[in-house]
Amino acid sequence: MKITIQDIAPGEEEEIIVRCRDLDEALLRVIHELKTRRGKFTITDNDKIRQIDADDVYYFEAVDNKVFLCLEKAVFEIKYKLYEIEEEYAGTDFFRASKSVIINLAKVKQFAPDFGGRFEAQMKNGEKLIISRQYVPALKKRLGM
Amino acid sequence: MSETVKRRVREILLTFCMVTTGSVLVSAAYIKVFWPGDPQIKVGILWQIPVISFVCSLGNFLHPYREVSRRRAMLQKISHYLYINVVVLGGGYYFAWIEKGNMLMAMTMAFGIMVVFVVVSAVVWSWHKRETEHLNRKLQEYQAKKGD
Repeated sequence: MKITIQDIAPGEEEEIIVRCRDLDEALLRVIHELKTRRGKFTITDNDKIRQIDADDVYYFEAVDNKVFLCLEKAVFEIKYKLYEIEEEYAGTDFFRASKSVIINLAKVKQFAPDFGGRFEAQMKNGEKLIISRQYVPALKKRLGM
Repeated sequence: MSETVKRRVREILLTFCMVTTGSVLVSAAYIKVFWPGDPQIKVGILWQIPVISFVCSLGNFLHPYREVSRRRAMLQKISHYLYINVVVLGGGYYFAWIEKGNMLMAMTMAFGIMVVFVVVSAVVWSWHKRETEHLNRKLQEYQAKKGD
């Protein structure tokens, strides 16, 4: 199967076109995967079920065995484990910054030096998160250093 | 050799070089103050300084790679400083750099330790800051590539 990836202009909507003779089971599974699993998180907001785009997430944080999805201003509890998110979103903008936090690199405004060889990630919504020393090599690798 | 061990060895060697350099400079000043003129020093000091510097460098193990709170990191830094004081002052008495009962010598040595510690910490911090600037440049490139 030929796979073509085209660059698009900034602001243009990303699109996946499937060109095939028959929609076989494998293709249907891929389409289902693209449409449902990756890229969306289901949350409960005032007894309403909503879907949140992964791109809108600033970071995930685990507190007392609960995992929270943090948007620019809102926070929702989700029924995922951090390691599941880490595995599911490997190779995307999500990066494990410490034992309890996964950050979205697309939402980081800048990094600042912190005590003890750590870094502080200053998010675009003003929040500050610690990147622990043990994850610094992975961050450098991710950013191509 | 795992990446962590390599990193640790690199850090210890780097600290060793910086502490040795600092110790030689402080020792020169210390000798000038307490033994003015043209004193004769024993060859043994050429071994004593690197030995003390190496033991001081092992204090890096007080900063484990596991995740710690900011308060804990600060406590580790203080423990590291105290460890260096114990090693250098202990070594100072052992190798007779400090005369027993001479408080001025001990205090001068402690001052020297503080100077080296502050200078080494400042150098490490400036590297960390430069590394952060590099990280920020890479982050901007990463985000630009992603079309953010």
